[in-house]
Formats: sequence, structure tokens, C-alpha cells
Amino acid sequence: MRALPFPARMRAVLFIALLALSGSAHALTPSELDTLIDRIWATHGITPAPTSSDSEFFRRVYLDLAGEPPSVEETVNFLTSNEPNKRAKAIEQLLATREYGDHHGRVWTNLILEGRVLKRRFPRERFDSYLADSFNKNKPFDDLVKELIAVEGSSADNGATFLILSHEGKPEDLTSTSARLFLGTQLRCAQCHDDKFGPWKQEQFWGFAAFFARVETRPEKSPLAKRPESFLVTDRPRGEAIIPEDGATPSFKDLPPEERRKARMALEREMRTHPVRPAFLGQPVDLHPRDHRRKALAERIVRAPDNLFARTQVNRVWAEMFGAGLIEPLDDLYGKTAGDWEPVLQALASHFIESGHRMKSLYALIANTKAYQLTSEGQTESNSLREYFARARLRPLSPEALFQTILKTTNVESTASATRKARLEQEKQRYLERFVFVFGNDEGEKSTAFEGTIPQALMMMNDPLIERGLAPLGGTTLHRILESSQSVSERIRFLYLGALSREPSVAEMKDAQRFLVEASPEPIGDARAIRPRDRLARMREAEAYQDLLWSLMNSAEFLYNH
Amino acid sequence: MTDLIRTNCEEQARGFPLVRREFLRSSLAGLLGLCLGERSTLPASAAIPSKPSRPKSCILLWMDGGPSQLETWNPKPGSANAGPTKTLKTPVEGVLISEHLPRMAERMEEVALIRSMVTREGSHDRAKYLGHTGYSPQPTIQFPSLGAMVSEEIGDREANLPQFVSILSPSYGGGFLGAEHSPFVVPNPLRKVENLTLPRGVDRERFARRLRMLDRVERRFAADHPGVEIRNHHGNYAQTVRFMNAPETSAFDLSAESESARNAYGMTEFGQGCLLARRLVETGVRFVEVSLRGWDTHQDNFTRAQKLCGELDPALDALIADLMERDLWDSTLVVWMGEFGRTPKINGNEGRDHFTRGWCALLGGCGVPGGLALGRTSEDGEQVTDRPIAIKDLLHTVLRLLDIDPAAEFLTPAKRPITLVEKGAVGIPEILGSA
Repeated sequence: MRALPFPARMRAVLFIALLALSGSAHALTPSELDTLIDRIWATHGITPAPTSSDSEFFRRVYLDLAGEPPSVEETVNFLTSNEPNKRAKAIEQLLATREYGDHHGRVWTNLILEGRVLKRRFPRERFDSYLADSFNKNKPFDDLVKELIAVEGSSADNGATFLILSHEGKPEDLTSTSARLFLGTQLRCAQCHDDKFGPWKQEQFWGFAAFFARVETRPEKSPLAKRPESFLVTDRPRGEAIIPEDGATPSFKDLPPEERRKARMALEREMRTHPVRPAFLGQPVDLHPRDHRRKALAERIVRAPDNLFARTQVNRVWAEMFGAGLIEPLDDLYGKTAGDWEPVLQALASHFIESGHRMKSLYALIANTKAYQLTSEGQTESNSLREYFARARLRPLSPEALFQTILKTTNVESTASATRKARLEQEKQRYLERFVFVFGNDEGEKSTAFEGTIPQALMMMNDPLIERGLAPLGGTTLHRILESSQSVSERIRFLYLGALSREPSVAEMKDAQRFLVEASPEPIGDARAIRPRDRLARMREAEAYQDLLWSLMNSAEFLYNH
Repeated sequence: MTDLIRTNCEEQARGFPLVRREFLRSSLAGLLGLCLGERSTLPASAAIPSKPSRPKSCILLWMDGGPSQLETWNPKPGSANAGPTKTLKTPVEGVLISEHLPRMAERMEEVALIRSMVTREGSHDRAKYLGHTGYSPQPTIQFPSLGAMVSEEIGDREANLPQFVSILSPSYGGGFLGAEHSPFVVPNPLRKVENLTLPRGVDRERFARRLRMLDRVERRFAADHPGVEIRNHHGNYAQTVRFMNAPETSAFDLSAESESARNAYGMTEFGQGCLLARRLVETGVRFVEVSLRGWDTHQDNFTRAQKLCGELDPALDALIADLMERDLWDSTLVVWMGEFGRTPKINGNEGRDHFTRGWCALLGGCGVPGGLALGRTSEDGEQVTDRPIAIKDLLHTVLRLLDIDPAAEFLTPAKRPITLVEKGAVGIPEILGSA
């Protein structure tokens, strides 16, 4: 896995040559991508699973692109539409929703944070909205990355300061994160010593860090303010990277004052005598003394050799849509090929570059393939179809998507009182943090099969948020259907469409009807004709519907994207 | 209600092995709903095997922030670095400890003290990670926390309670051993376990009804997707409902303890956390971590350390006494440590800064020889003069005491072979004895 196997490299080269001959200077179409995938399946004698049903496809693509499930209305419209190209249309529409940017903004915030907890005074909303805007405007992804790395300015008005500030401007942390997220390269092993398992020497790590050696973050506050209101990101005119003894750039704040001065002087001496020159992935870079180092780095990252930048991004997007990358782990693909899947990875990367690094174009390309639109049904453990992406995988909803899904399914937000509404965003943020804490897992080391945890199940079964969402009042989904004059079967249908984005089967409809009858033995006629003796019966009825929705929301079908 | 299902419930309560797979053969709601309907009346103690077969457990008392060795187990009276802290004699020759640990001063014959710990990490995050996992952080591998190693190696897979519980801190997770070994976190021992009880307006009968419906709702999707994910989902829900229903969860309820027992530990979060740790170990949890925060005393070290010792001393003393009284001392290893120590030299703010050499750790129970004082530091506390002991050696020793092989090898997801404790670690012979 480590070194590029020779035959694979040969194949890759051959493939590029073939592409060049066939005149590949146009964007890839979904069917061309499918042809490449079909070829791999054919080589291995694999017959892919059948195409997904409309409802399966619609829920999946909605969750993947917008980070939440479709509404009942949208689902019904989609399912009943007779348009021949309705799937392609739905993809196009989803990519134009605000939710597309919001979702990917949140995803990238969490990728950059990598479990770091932001200090309270960091304006996370500003970072989120900066990233969301960038995705929604379909900003070229290379430009976005360049902004994040080379940013100069204040967090007060520039969300691109997020990367630097969340890493407290530490060169070694910025090195690890940018190599990992933008180049799919694990440099961190070499921070403290030469990497025994990878190609990197400690000198090369600090050569990369040298690009960040001058970064400075400064709190900004008005004279009367107690705490800083924002932070400024800038570069000092001087400053070099050195290889520190214990692997981390020394922090002086923990030292006693008299030692602090000594240590600082020692550091400056070291910078003069043993500076590590900037080097990009091991290649020394000659810079003019007045060059802006981070700008120089950003340019090199987006133009890294072997399409490393594009490969990293398309591999991550593929993993997002298919449940696993073409190369795993996602942040360690330097010097690796995707084996059988190399042609697909190459083609995706070329497409991404030719499209001007437009994420929407990449998502549209993948979502429109037959491969993405296969069914997930019929999965068994020892199935090679899974391995070859020849059947859609079950993927646990990300914490962000699960949270959004609960909000949208229950419409719990409508229960917030006026005073509460003002704090709703804050409350949502807190809840989202809880979800990320309870449902999050480390991407890099994701175990092959997701296993839920006790706190996760407890949260889904018993948390007040769920119960509040099930309350038949204040405009929740349940409130709406109980207030309506719909028949029992119409209500059941509405709940299934809302929670699972599909119609109930005949058997399920019967099951649910029987359940409602058993749970509330006195069916009442017109819901709006309130007589006192009906009150208990109405309460029973409401409880029965709550329990039905509760079971839908605790099902695997709800908790997985499939 | 079928007899088959009832039998299952009873077998579970008696601790019969019931592998996850088997949950699927019986319906989720059937198994769980009925269990719920007739909550087992077995007292928690029924799950405790008699003495000879009592499995080993560990309680880790984590002193977050890096406790000052000079204000705890290794004061330096007479040195310029001493500060105002006075000392107390202990029954162990040559061992003086801080005056703020009066109860523990009388217990030093029952524990082993290490005064020469060294670490290679001097910043909190990295040092804490190293202290918990035995490895410095690496981006490509998530190393398991000590509690996860114990859960994986000697945890009871059929237990109703999670085998690794962390009180007052999230600790670290299962890493490459898997999320199932990550800790069950109790953010505050004085509060109820989050979401353990049914929401308001939902009684047991209604909950059983919900589960029955869940079972029916799952049917179609499960039939169409007969994969491992579905089994995990069922398994997790089954385990969780079993957890909610388990008589052992009463261990989380400290109000079952007498006033005097609770007071003995001190009515602090940490004190009550230690009491909860004892109750959990008694119920079969194999690893409990309890954190005491606030040891990062760059300023005002002496008042702050005194206050923290005031929380620590009664809690640790009561914990040891309790474990002895309940015949748990021989099977329970108690470990006291933080991520590093503090500079002997006092800084301009009456504080002490981070110090990686010559700090203290304490071990007791589980056959650890009492009255042992290992390692020495110089008169001023600046140098380790005898037996420097690295974290990996301490963790190696801890695992061996729990009958776990520290050299057990695992493959990470990237197929890298990794031993539980870093290679080259050696046990501390004075503590392991001939073991």
C-alpha cells in the first residue's frame, strides 16, 4: 500500500496516455464515468445491484447534497412526477438550495476543527456562513483553500481567518491539517522524528511548517472591552522554522517570567543559526525574503504534483457519496493509487480540475451516475458488491445531518416560544455540539462497521428534544396532522413520508392502523368537535400517533442513509 | 407473552452469555418490551460472584492539570523550593507528605508511592493523551485509553453495564479497539445519567408499546437490508434497553448510600465520583476513571493545592477503607496520577509551572505491596536521583497487575501492528513482585 506498485503505476500512465489520445479536454459526463466503472465490474465479473427506487434515490441524494431529508411535499411531488429526467433535475435543484451550502459549510467546519473545541468568544457563525457562502456560490475550491491559508485580516469581517485562528496560528498544527485536508498527506508523524512508516523526514515536516513560521494572531479589543472582540491574522516580517527539541514550537506562557525571556532569546538564536528553509513536500523552495510565505504555500498546494490536491478532494467527495473512499484512509493517499479504481479517481480529478475546481460540478457528476443510484437493498456481509461499490452502502447519518433530520421531521423548532426564538440559533448550536459529541466518531479510524453506542440510543429514545418534537402542539408535524381532517390512513402515510421519505407498504399500513386502534380504542370522529368526554380519547389518540412517529425515528431506516 | 422470551430475560439477569447475534432471533420488542414489563427484581448483588472468582477492576483517579508533587506526596521541607507547605510524618520510613493530606498520611503503609515519574510531554493535551494511552498523539492512529484496553481485554461482554465508565471527564476513547470500548461518560455524579429514565408522560407500558411498534416498523427494512449494520442497530438498542432496565443501573444512584457514607467521601463532585466508582466496581464495571480538575496552578499554587487536597484526602481515604471493608481491595487496583508535575521553583505568581521530571504516582490494592516508596528526587526536587519511571512502564505495570498482556498486538485499520503499551516498556519489579 505504501509504495506505488509498479504495474499500477504503469497502468495509470497508460490510462493517461489513452485519455490524451481520445481527446479528454472536456468535462466528464456521468455516462462516461459509468463506463469506467462498468469496466472495473466487468473485469471482476461483478453484476451490480439494480437501480434504486425513486424514493430510495430521493432520500439519499437529498441527505448527501443538502444534509437533511426531503419534506413530505417534495417527496410526493418527486414520486408522482412523470418527467423522464426527474432525477437529474432534482440533483440540479438540490445543488441550488441554501441547504447545500449550509450543510457543506458545517461539514468543513468540523473537518477543519477535527475535534478541537472553539473558545466561546470565537464567532463560529461567521466561519460557518463564510464556508456556506463559498459552497453556495460555487467558489472554485482552489480559491477557497488559498483564502483559508493566505488570509490576512480580522475575524470581525473575514471568515477565512477560521483555519488559522482555530489552530491558534501554530505552524506545526497548520502544517498537519493543511497537508492532511488539502493534500491527503500525513506529515504529522514526522513532526517529532523521521516517519518510520512513511516517506517523511522531520526536516521535511518543518520545511512545510516554515511557510507558516511568520503567521501571527493578535486579539483585537476596544479600550473599554474586557475581552478581545476579534482576532487579527497577519504575518510578521521575519521568523523562521526550527526543529524544536520536543517536537512542538515552544510555548512560553507556561514558563516562569525570567525563564521566558531566556527561552525566547534561545529560540531567536536558533532561528538565526539553524533555520529550516521552506520546502514543499520535501522540495526546497527558493523565496525572495519579502515573499508572502503563506501565499507561496497556497499556490503550491493547489498545484501540487500528480494532481494531489484534486485527488484528495474527489476522493473525499466520493467517500461522502458512497460511504468509503477510493483510497482509504481519506487523508493518507500520498504516493498511493486506487488500485482497480485508479482510472475512476484519475478521471474524477481531471474533471474537477477542468471544471475550475467547482464542487457543484463534481457532486452533480457523481450523483448522476448509475453507480450512485444503485439500490442498497439485499446487502449481505460477505458481499463483494459492497467492496466494489456495486451496491449502495448503509451509512450512519453524520451528527450534523441527523440533527437536521430530527428538526425537519418533527418541526420541533415551531414549538419555541417567542422569547425562546431569539435564542433558538444558540440553542441549536449547543444541541448540535451535543450531537457531534454523542454521535461523532473519528473519521480517520472509523471502524469498518458502525456500531451505535448506549448514549446514542438513549438520546434517540428518551431525549427531551425528541419528546418535544413529538408533542402535539405549537405547529409540530404531529400537531398539524392531528388538527387536520385527514383520515387515519392519510395520517399514517404522512408520517411515513415525513420520517422515511416513502409510502408505507400495504402491510405497514395495516400494521400501523392496527397499532393505532389498539393504542387508542375509542376512535373519534371529527377532530375539531371537542366535547369534554372526548378529551381523554383525544389524548390517547395523540399518544398513539406520537408512539408511531417515535418508532419510525428510532428505526435503522431513519438513522442510516441508504 | 411467550415463555421463551421470559426465560431469556431471566437468563440475562443471571448473567448468562447472550451474544448480540441472538437478539435478532427474538424480536427486539418481544425481548425488550417483555423484559421491561416485568422488571427483574434481582438485587444488584446477585450479579456479584463470590470472592475467589472476583474479576479484577481498576479505578483511575486522574489529577487533571498536573498536580504539584511538592504539595502532595513529595514535599521538600528546608529547601528554597518548599513554599509554605508543612509536612506530616507517615508510618513509612522516609516518607513525608503534605500536611493537607492528613488521612492519607495514616494510610501510606497500604499504598505504593512512586516519586520519580518522568514524561516526555510538557503540554497538557499531549501529556494527558500519553498518560491515558501510553503513546504520544499520532495523527494516523487513535490509541485506546487505558480503560478501553481493560474493557477489551478483561471486560465482560455480556454485562448489562458498560465496562468503562468515566466520571467528570470524557477521558479518551476506544481508539483502534473500537467505539464499543469507549467510556460511558458521567459528566456529573450528582446528576442523573442523561436520558436513562423515560421521558415525562411515557410509562413503562407505553415504552414497551413503542418498542413493539419499532420492531414492526423495522421489519421491512431489515428484510431488505440483511447486513451487519442492521444487526448492530438491533444489538445497540437491545443493549441500551437492557441497560435502562438493568437493576445494576441503581449503582448510579448515590442516594442509596447512607448520609454518613456519602459524607465520608466528602460532599464534592470528586468525592461523590469516587463513591460512584466504588459502587460501579462493586456492580461489575471493570474500569472507572474519576477526574479531579484544577491542578494547573501557575498562580496561587499553595491555596489552590490545599483546597484540592481537601477534596482528595477524604475521598481517597474513604475509597480505600470502603474497598477493604467490602473485600474489594484485593481485586481492585487504585491508580492516582496526573499528566505531569510542577516546577519545584516557585514563580513570581506564587505558582508552579509544568514539570516533566520527578512527579508522583500512587498505586494501591490488587496485590500492590503497601508501604513502598519508589524513586527519589534531589533535595531541591529539581532532579530525579533514583529510578526514573516512564509512563509506559507505569501503564505496563498497571496492565500486568490486571492480568493483561501489555505486549498484546493489534492491527490498526491501516494494518499496522501495534502493541497495547509501546514496545520497550518494562514492569516495575518492586510492585509486580514475582508476578
